[in-house]
Amino acid sequence: MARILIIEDEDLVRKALEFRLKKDGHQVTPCMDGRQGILTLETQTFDLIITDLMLPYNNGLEVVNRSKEIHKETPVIVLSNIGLEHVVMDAFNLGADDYMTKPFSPNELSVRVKRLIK
Amino acid sequence: MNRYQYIDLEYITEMADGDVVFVIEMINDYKTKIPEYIADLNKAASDRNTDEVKFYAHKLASSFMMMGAKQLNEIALKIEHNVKGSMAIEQLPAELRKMDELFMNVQKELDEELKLLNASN
Repeated sequence: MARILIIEDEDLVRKALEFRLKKDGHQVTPCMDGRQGILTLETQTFDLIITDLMLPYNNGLEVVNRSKEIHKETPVIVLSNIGLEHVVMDAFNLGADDYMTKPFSPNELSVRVKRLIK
Repeated sequence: MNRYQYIDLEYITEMADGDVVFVIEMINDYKTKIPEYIADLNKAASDRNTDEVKFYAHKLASSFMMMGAKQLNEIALKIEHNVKGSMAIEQLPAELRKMDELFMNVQKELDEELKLLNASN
């Protein structure tokens, strides 16, 4: 079981992520925007962070940047929509470890999470 | 085989992995949340705030796909990617009307699916 922080402002996507990861046996902390996400990762430790890129208040790139500043070893998966590949490259340059395009395959999510937390 | 014209529930069914209650919850949430997001997008368009139009169109694009509403997803992506470029703000009302009309059809199909799911649960 891993402790996973999800930062995603789209309620339906966040709920689906939470459902699937809990089903896989993980402990999930959901956040609805970048500001709440950064505050949470500053005060708690996680085995994995999954963040959307386009978020209110602080965007996903700011989340990746802050996460890598304080928990360099914690892997980060970024979620993006089709057409935002250039932003994904920026996220990789900031230290993101993997990315998934929405809508993500549930099985692919499980495999990618498993690979990063071992 | 997809029995519907405006939605495709293959994705949410795969996500649910046999949990019918989850599918029912997601459909109900979808029916509540999407009109809120569309209202936000309409407000941003009437305020002529292209940053917010782009933001809400982005949010809608991935949410639409949770129920496989591809036609709605295409409109949202078109708005998201073009509103600060080739699409004039004056073109938005026509796209938003199309979105409203399509969403009514999506809702009808989701109601039909809910009846089936509730009957089987």
